[in-house]
Amino acid sequence: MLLAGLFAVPAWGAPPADMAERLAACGACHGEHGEGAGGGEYVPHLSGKFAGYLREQLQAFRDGRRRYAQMTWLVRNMDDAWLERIAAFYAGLPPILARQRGDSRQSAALDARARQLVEHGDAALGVPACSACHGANLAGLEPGVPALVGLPADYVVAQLGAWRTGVRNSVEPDCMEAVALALSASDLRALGNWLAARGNDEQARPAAAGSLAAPMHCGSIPGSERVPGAGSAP
Amino acid sequence: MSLRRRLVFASVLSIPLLLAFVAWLALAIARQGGLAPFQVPAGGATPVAADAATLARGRYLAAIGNCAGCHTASGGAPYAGGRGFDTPYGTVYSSNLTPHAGTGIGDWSLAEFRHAMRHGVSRNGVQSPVFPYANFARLDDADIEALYAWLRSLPPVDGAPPANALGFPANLPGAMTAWRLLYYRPVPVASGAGGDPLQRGRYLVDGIGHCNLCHGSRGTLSSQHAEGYLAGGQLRGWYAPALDAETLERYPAAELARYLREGMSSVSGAYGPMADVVYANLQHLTEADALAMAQYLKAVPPPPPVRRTSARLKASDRQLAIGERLYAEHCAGCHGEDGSGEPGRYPALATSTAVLATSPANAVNLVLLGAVAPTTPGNPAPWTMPPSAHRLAAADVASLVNYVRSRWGQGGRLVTAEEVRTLGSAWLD
Repeated sequence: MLLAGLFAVPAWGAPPADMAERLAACGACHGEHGEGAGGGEYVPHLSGKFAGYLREQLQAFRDGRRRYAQMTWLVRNMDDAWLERIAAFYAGLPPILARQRGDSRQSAALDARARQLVEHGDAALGVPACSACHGANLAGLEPGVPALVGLPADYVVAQLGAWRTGVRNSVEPDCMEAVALALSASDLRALGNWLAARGNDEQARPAAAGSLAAPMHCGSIPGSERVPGAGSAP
Repeated sequence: MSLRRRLVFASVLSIPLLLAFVAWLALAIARQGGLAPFQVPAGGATPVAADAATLARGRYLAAIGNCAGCHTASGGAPYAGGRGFDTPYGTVYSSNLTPHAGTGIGDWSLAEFRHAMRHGVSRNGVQSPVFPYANFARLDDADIEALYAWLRSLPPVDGAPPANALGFPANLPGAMTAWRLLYYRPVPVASGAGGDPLQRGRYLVDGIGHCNLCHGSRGTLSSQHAEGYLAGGQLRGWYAPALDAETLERYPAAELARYLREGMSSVSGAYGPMADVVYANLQHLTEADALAMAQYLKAVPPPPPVRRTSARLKASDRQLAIGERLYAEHCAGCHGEDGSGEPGRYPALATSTAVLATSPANAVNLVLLGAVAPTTPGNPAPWTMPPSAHRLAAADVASLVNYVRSRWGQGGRLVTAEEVRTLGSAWLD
């Protein structure tokens, strides 16, 4: 599955062999091979993420749809062809699914709440299970839904918060915005800590495109427009 | 004193003053081009040649002049205006250049468009000098007509920009007219044709390129004055270097032309706001035009040498020692122990504007934020410099920059940790 994902990417030829050196500015925070920097509590890893997802994020930083001043500064004068090659470079490196830094002292009640949201969602809030779109092993769904494991807790909380305030957006209809708005602030923190502590010893692979029946119509999941009640936020 | 005597006395005093004022006003009106600039030609769309060559010429000029850069709001439709410019006098919003009849230039005649470009006066009144009509006034008729034709070929967008939000006294009626009377001096229309590269270069640099807006310094109330011409300027925390025969001596003309078109050369690359300019505009230059601009800039006479009023400041030995250690740790890997770098990848420090300039601002910004030259057809996969804002304290950045500029620079100003903090927060907060 991973190989299929990789080979689908490079339409313009293989990236130069010296990519890691060319991208020294990225490596300063994300690690030389996109593995995440040691001690990084906020900056995510890049390696093994889907090329399509990475390209969409790079374009969003460049065009002002996603906001982080340092990222925008570095990519603001890069054309689509080069962003695509950068995305393909990191996508082709091994994924990081190890445990990350979070608050390990989180109460059992909050852990249970997080696990409930991840595995079953919260029907009363209209929130589907995280695993319904991000895969049972939370390793993501090709081509556009990223893994939730291997990310620092602070990063996860910051992203969910950014969706709530409209600072981060994904392709419309933006399911993550609906989900983040329905959850409470304490839910976001509980999820960040629980996910950061998960890790994935089996190096599980992401789910293949089209292999999951999405519970909502999401712009990031091709084919999900056939979901009943498509387009309306829960 | 009788009433009669008082009236005579007052007249003796006031009539000469009044006459002096009228004479001054007449002179001021004459010096900015008479009354003709205030007579806006009638509107009504003018049929113009819309052949492929004219449209291509208009599109080329709009790209080189970065019309879209100012006339596009963040996330808005290109050329539909509405981008706000913060000035010391308040916020000025760019106009809608699309051919929408009510809110754009849909019912502007060619004569009205040409008048706005030449005189900065349109049906919307006397324009603020944020619109660089002092530069666009140089464009010849054929180029203005090509721009008009090309703008009219864009999809019309319905949208009026917000009204300018100016403070006192710029918000008073007639303030822009008064500014024009005081500071605007007409420039001759130049010719964009002809084979002389110096003339063509000047036409592009001073006309559509409006390089002086960043690379020049401003006089009273932001007027463009002759002494400030390409003499270097400040913008958004960066220093735009002076452009003349002396400052550009280290660039062979062909390499300067490459810098303009590709954002990279054997001497240095385009970083900071200049990377934006290359990416958005100058990469579209033809090779001949880039060379003409380079040749003209290299022929601009340098200003007379300035006598230094104070002795050059020297960094302390302790600071230089810290800087030397940090250089070896963070910089030498790419720029080399001797600062010679690798042409096309990592600029040599002894020829870098950031190192040579009197102002330390660019060097600090590059160390804090990192740097990437723009992607261009000539440099599609640019090399990068890592940011250090997250790993070096402000005092360390100051030591490093002062060390590098002391070792390879020309005795520019030292930077303090406090200034480093201010510069960094302008971009990253």
